[in-house]
Amino acid sequence: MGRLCVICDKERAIIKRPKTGQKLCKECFYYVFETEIHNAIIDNKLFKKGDRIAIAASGGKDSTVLAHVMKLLNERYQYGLELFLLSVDEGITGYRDDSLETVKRNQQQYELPLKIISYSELYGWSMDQIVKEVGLKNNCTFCGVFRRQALDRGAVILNVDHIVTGHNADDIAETVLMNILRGDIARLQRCTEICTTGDGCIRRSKPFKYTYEKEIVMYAYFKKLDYFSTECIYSPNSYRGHARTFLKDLESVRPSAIIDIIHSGEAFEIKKEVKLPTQGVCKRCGYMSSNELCKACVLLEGLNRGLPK
Amino acid sequence: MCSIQEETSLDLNVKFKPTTKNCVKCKTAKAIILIRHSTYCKKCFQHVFVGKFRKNVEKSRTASSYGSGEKIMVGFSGGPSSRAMLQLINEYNEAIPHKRVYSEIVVCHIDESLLLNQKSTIPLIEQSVRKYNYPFIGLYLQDIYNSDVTKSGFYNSVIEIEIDAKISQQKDPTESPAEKLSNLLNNISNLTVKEDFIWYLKLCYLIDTARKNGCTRLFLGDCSTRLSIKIISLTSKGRGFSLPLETSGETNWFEDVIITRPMKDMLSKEIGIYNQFAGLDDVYVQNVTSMMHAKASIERLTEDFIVGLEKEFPSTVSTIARTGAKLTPSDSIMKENRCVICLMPYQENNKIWQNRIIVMTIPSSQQSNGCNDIQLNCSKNTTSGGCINGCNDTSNDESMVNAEFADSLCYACRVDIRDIKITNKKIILPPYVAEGVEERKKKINRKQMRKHIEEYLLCSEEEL
Ligand SMILES: [Zn+2]
Ligand SMILES: [Zn+2]
Ligand SMILES: [Zn+2]
Ligand SMILES: [Zn+2]
Repeated sequence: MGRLCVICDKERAIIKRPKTGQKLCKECFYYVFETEIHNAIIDNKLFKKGDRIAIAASGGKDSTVLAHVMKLLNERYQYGLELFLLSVDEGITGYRDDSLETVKRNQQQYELPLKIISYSELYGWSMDQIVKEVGLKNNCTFCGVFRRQALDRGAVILNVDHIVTGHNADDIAETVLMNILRGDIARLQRCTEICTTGDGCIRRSKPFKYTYEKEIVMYAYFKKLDYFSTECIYSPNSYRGHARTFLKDLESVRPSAIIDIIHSGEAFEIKKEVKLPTQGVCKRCGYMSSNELCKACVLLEGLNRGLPK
Repeated sequence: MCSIQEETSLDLNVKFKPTTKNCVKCKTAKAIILIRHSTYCKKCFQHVFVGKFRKNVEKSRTASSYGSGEKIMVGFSGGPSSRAMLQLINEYNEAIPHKRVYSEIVVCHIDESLLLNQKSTIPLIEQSVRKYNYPFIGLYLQDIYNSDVTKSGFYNSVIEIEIDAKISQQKDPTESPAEKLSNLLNNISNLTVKEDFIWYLKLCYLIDTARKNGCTRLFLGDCSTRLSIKIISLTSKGRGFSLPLETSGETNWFEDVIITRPMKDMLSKEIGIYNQFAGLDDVYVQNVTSMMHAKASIERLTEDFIVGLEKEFPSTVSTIARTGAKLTPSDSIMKENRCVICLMPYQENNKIWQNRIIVMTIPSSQQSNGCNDIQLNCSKNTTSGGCINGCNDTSNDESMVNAEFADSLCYACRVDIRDIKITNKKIILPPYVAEGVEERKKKINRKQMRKHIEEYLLCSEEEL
């Protein structure tokens, strides 16, 4: 004797939608969830027919659902895309081994070609080795910087035009807050862009820009999608942690807060007289960078210098 | 209008820690005050503090076309920041008595005691500013419902929203202003919305009062601590588009009344110290979320978050304030796209944006439920049709009114209206809101008329 779904008025409502609080049946939830992602793709003209797209796959919930939805929408709406899975092996024993297994299972399920690219083959260092060297203090900086480049390099190897990542609305709202708190005005302006392109670099986009994290979990749960659910074992409790907690609190006060923050972020405009760092390329590796050396090269140099001979 | 007054008084003890260091400014006197990482002696602290104020008012003076002899209004809440501001304005204006910067200074206080069923704050406030001998205007927030608090000065229709979300324009009903305001705020159980309403009603009332008293400038006492909280809370409420106008040191968005925030570079704890040195007592004014738990409202939660973060990372407030100062009102802002509730600018097409990223219907059911908006008790269960957020179903007059109303709101005010659950009869929005809706309707009509006869017109709208 439950209440009926507010959209179709036929089926029994079994969920309360996190984004809106509406009570929906399963099928209607799938429909709105998938359609919002489709709208984001179409309204922002993310792809064109024949594009080769790499899905950044970590084995976590976001990328697992992303792979599923990309394949589904590509078929339903005939985007005409060629899809690949691209995975980065950071070299974290226990964490990465298990999640890579998940990615391999996804590959078979979705019948998509998979490329795994590892930190040790790219940089000569695995995350385990880096942690041994720098401890747990800045390890996430390393990992973040290295992963970004690793994806780009993997994309070059796969010869794709475009990488899609599983960044969801919560991630973007959190980044908007973080950039205000840190005073990073250049990133504040860029972080709400759904698609970013560096010169000569590969396009990157976030089809989940308006998708709530809770709904991604809900979708995976009902579709019985297989994902690896542990947080990175080197996860930090940093400044970002405060922003994350604050965002969760905001969401509990007003569920639309996540979308409202993104709405604000999209409306921000920066004074013309504010100097933004100019984008150049790294002298050593040619990757785009606002300084002479890119962040990865600086970090690597530090690592290699400290290397006991 | 700094509402984090408790914080200031609590923090004082910490600041007077005995230190062996010398003042960073004069290098000779012993320092007794620590602000972030710098230590000051009393004299240098006061010098720096007053300097920040002067820098801000002088900057705005040179930009002003009035030069000297401007008549200004000071928005005075009674809190520490507005208390310090009034003193600073007075000292600044009396520095050279025969060459005053401001020809006249009016102090205006809005009493919100109705909301908390308390005694009026006006007598206490009036007494605390008496020594300056400035004209004092004490207003009651409920009087925003008077027909003269409008652009035309005598607009007596109001907007009514009923339980079934039916919106209509009505000739002024018989309830007293106090009854209307209490009924509005009692119907808003969501404190985030309640605080928004109170703030924007107050702001509109202040602007209107300044305008009618011939003041060309309104001073507001937002300090940097307050502004950094506002930057985060406005962002969280979807008010990013108007944020630069709502937090900047100066804005001419209200055209004939310029808003200046001369306290924007002072931390609330600096203000507390200054007031103590100067012997200035503030008046404690409670607001609707004072003493409530952190999750009571977005404003309250943000305050808790920023104040806590500032304790752990003492540059939090200044970093946020600096980030906010780098934002600018968009080029796409249009004077005529003014939200009828908050009077801030709204973006064209923000409703379409919302409907694309929050899908509320499936194609086959669109007929039965023609509403594209969030969580509204709209058309679905009623025969009347139309919802507050203005769905596409404009098949009858009633939903036309609803759509018109929704179209004249900014994104954030629409979110606020969505979160109002009307439980008791109906709510009444003040005449200035109704006036705004009608004005907008007239403008659109004219635009359509113009379109109709465009090919026969030989001049532009402005030339007429
Ligand atoms: Zn349904
Ligand atoms: Zn490099
Ligand atoms: Zn000194
Ligand atoms: Zn508004």
